[in-house]
Amino acid sequence: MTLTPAHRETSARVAERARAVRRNVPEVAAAITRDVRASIPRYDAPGTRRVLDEAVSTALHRFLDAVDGAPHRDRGVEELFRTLGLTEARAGHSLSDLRAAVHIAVSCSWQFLRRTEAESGSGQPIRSDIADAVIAFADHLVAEADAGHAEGARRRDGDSLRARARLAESLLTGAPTLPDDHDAWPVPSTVLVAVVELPDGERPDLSALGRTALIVREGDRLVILADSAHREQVVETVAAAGTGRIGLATAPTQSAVPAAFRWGRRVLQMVQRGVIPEARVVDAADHLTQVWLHAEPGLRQALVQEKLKPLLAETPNSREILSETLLVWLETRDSAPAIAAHLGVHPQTVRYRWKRINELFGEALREPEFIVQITMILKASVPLWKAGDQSDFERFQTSDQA
Amino acid sequence: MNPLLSTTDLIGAVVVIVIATLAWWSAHPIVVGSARRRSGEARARVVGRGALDCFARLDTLVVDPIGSVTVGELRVIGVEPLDPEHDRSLRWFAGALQHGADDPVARAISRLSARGGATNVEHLPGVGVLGTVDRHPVRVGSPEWIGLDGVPDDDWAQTVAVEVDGRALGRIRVADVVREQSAATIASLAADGVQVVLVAPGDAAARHLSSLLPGATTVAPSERPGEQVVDDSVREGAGVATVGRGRSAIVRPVTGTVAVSDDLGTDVPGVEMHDVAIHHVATVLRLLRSARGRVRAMRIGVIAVTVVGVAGLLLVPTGPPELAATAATVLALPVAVLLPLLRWS
Repeated sequence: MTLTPAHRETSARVAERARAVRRNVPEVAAAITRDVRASIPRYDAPGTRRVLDEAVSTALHRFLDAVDGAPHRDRGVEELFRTLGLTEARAGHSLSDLRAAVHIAVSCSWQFLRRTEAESGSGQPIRSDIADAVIAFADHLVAEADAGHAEGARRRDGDSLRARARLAESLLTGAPTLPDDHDAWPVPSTVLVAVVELPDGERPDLSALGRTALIVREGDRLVILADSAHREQVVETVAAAGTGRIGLATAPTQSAVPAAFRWGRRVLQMVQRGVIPEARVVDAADHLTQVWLHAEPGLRQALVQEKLKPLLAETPNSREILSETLLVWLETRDSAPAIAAHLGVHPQTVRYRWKRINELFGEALREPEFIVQITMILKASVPLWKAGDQSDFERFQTSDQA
Repeated sequence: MNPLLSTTDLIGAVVVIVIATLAWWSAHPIVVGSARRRSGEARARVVGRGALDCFARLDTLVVDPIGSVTVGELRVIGVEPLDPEHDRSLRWFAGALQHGADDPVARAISRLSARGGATNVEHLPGVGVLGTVDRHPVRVGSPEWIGLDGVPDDDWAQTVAVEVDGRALGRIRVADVVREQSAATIASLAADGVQVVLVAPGDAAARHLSSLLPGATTVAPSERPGEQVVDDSVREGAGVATVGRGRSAIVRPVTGTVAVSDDLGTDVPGVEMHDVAIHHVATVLRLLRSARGRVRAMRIGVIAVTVVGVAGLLLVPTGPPELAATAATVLALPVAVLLPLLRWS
């Protein structure tokens, strides 16, 4: 801090008074800190008390340094008040308490000066000069604190984004979350995971979701974590932003978020592969069986090769219609006319297919274990085959030729 | 003195003679019209002035069997699945596919099943038909095309093979089957003194017909062609009628014969019928064989009534009795015409 020329003009008398009161700084500092703690309980906390003592003492000495006219070392009071402002901002507090504390300090200091002036009996009118200097110094300290607070607010915003990203990463991967990160986004009891396709890598405007949702980008997809109670709002906002398909899954607990994330991605993959009918919004809850059956593709492929070998040896058209008919029978156990109505064919066609199926699988169709197995395999595979996936048959042909 | 013939006598005699003349000439058309009405659903129409004379002395029918003693179209006579359990599937897939085709064999096989499910039907002339039924690829055609051995086709029956999903399911045999009334009808005609000669289209058909219709004489084309059968019969002095659909290529009428057909044309005497099924032909022939005699009876009746009427005019006193005699004669003429039609069936 540098005093103005006007201050320096009165500096002779002021400097003299300053030198006289410097020995009373501890007493004044104690009075100020006592009043501040009494008025602002937050500053009475154990960790804060030492900072307050140091700030008051340093500020008083810095004020006296400025007015006594003698050269002094830089006491770093400006840096200290910038740090105080920054600390308040990072803690999410405004500067009102600090301003109130400075006001108390000015008030205490003024009372002290008036009292010492009366006791000295000099009769010199220095009160207004000192008042100007005290007020100017207090304004200077508050300005430093303001600057620090602004810097702190900027840093806090940056830290919040990082914390949200870190939290999203932890939730989606199942890694432990940091307690501080929960301040960035309170994790709801039931988490909605929305996996959003982004055609052409576009960046949709989802600002309407505000800070109520965690949004992270994953390749050509967005992943949105939100309270499941806000499901409709999330879907409407994302759909209105002109994105691609939306895969939804709900995690009943925080630990279930990674699974919900997998399900959300998987339903979108299954829509792409034709297993699930095309839709803009696909809720995994509507396709849990398919999600389950396709959870381990390698296992499904192995079971297909093992259990459906006779079917794989058929022509593509034959295996498609025979597997379709077999699956309907396994699921419904209906009569030939009922299955025919379901498939849109003549009952005699169904009887013919059933005879062919019996020729292919023989007595195995009377084994409950086999029935359960092929029901699950066909339920997983028939939609894939109907969508044009030939990998099972190519694998069979390769192994057959080998 | 009174003249021998009064004016009233002359007028009455002229009236009676004129009406009698009309009755004489109307006898033939009345009999022909009556025969048409009495022939029922056969709706027989006699063509040609000498036809009734020919039918009166009819004792031989030379018959083209296609459509007369047979139903005239192919029917399924045998289904031979390779696996007996595929019998109904064989019928279903073949029938469903053939609903999309339009030829005699297809019409026969299509009766095996309901319509539906056939798509992408393609005809390969001389080979068969292929397409899909309920998404199953199906072929119906010659056994060689399907890759099956089969009974060789002959002039009576044909064999087609059926394949579904690239696997042969079996064979279907079709033929023009003999009507169920044919044997009894031929027997009744024989009892009436009419011999039936069937001119078969081929040797296989001749064997088949002779085994099913022993009451008829069956002639194979390798023995005598149809024209020769007719000529021989005429030469032997028989009253011959040919029976056949349209202008049959197997049996053709010659001079002195009549024809029974569903399309006589304009220059052939005979009877045109809606359906030349042998039992309908027998019904009509039974009517027509006695038609000539009924015409003759009508005309004799007309002459008798006229003679009696004119004689009466001369004998009765002049005045009202003459008028009464004229009226009675005129009223008696229709009775004389219609009386021979009683109990004609």
